[in-house]
Order: sequence, then C-alpha cells, then structure tokens
Amino acid sequence: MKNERHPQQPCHSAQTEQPTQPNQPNKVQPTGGTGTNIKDFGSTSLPNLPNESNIHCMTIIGQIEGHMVLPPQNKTTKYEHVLPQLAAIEQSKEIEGLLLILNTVGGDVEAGLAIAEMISTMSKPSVSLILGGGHSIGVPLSVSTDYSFIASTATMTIHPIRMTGLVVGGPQTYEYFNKMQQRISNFIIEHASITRKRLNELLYNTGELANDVGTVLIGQDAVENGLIREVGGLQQALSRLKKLINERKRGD
Amino acid sequence: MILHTIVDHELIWKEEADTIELMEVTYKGIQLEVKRIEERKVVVNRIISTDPNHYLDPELQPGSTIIYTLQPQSP
Repeated sequence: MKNERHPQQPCHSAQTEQPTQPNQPNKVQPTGGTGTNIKDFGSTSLPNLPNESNIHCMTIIGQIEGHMVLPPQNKTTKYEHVLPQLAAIEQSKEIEGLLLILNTVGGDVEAGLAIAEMISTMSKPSVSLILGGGHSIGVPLSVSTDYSFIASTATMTIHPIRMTGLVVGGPQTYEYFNKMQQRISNFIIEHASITRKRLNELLYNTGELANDVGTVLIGQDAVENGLIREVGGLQQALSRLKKLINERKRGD
Repeated sequence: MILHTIVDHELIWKEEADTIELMEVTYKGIQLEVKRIEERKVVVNRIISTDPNHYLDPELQPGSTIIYTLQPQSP
C-alpha cells in the first residue's frame, strides 16, 4: 500500500505519481504517498481505525461565512455545511455527543448566531474546546455548548461589532447597531455565567486594543470572567463529554 | 451583513490575483473540498464531515488524489 507509512523512507522524498488506470473509475489512485502529502499539504497518512465513533467533532475554523461568499484567500467555515450537519447529528441514532473545536477569528453575525442557536438547542450533550482563538462572534459559539473548555494559551477577544462603509442617518444606525450588539450579548449572558455589567466592561474597555475598544482574555482570564467553564485540553473535553453522555443515558 | 471579527475588513475583501479554485464533491458519501488537477482527477484539500473516522481514512487524507467519474458504475 502506497498510503502506508514507510518509516525507512525520509518524509521529504516526494515520489513520482503512479500512472493512472483509466479503466478503474471511482477508485482512489495510489497517490504520491506520504512524502508528497507531507510536502504539499503537511499531512501524514494515519492508521485506519475500524470502530464507529459515538462522538462527532465539529471544527469552526477561520472566518465564519454567512450570506456573502468571502474571497478565496480566507479560510472559512460555511453555515450551509454546519447547519445540516448539526441537524443530522441531532437526528442520528448512533451519535451521542458533539465536540465543538474552535479556532476562529469571528465572522458573520447571522451565521455565528445561527450555529450557536442550533448547538444550544440540541438535545445531545455538547462540549466546546477553544484552541488558539475564539474571537468576536466565536464567543457566543464557545458558550453555546453544555460545557466549555479553553486551552491555557488560547485567547478570546471581546469587542463590540463595528460598522464599515457609508453611514446614512446617525441615530438610526446607532440604534440598529445597538440592537445587533444586544442580541449577541444576550446570547452570551444567557449561556455563560458572566453578568451583563461585566460583559459591558470587557466590551467597552479602552486600555487594551490599539485600534478598537475591547478586551483580550487569555485562557484562565476567560474562566475567571465567567465566560468559559474550565481551562483544559482535548482529554478534559472528551472525558467531560463522555461523562455528560453517560449522565444522559442514565436519565433516559 | 455584519462581520464581527478581529480581522480588518480590507484583508477579508482583498482580491488575490491567482487563487486556486476549490470545489466540493461527494465521494463515498463524504463531502470533500477538492482541487481539480485534471479532467476527472482531483486532490483532496479538506474533509467536510463531523465523523472523526472520515479523517482517519488514508484514501481521504489531504493531498490524496481521487479519480472520479460522473457515469454510474456498471454492476
């Protein structure tokens, strides 16, 4: 098998591709092997585990893409992928829990809130894990699960939504943005233990960001402010999820 | 549409000159984001799935080549 690991082979030796066999459609051709995969995509081949997983994992990465398709240099998580997946997870008989992995810079408000609402109204247990960053609209997403973890090195930027482009009608625009900010803040307050007063303090803090108001919370800070439940990693998140699954099974 | 993000809007909307065109295909029931290299030959770029086992499938590792056909397979 070309796809198997060859420990004796140096990883950087890109192999030439095998000649294609046109009479074998719908078959995966032997690829350039591990060497090429590492060279071009930074990935290795992994052993195939036959057992079915009762925990599904959703990764929210890069920009959260909503009604507008973003230019291709952006890495995006698209709501048209995520929303049906969440509906499928909720309906599946085999899947018992959801692990939500976040490393996002934020993105579309409507899409972010839509995904957050889907997760928070799921009957199956869910646990979030913030790695790297869970900024802006990533905050309601991080608190939408039953339990939340943040890596000790991960950061969350809490800042108000801001406007771009031409503003017509100052008071109306202010009112509109105030309402949009309220629906994000309301979701966070409803699903985390942070108070509205403290959240507003973090949102409108002027001492931390050079070109914006807001606060950067690192790991433990997010826990101390009542946004995230615990500092932890993959193991803690998975064992908490398994615990929640077992509790739900006993409850049924 | 309001973008609530820490990334500057100029960076998000900037149009790059030569960006690789990615497309989505369903292979063995698994949604994949792929890069077309030939008429019926694509390279896996990303797996769009929540099933952890799909990420362990050696066939679907990012960088793997898939030959696919649009014709239904004869039995």
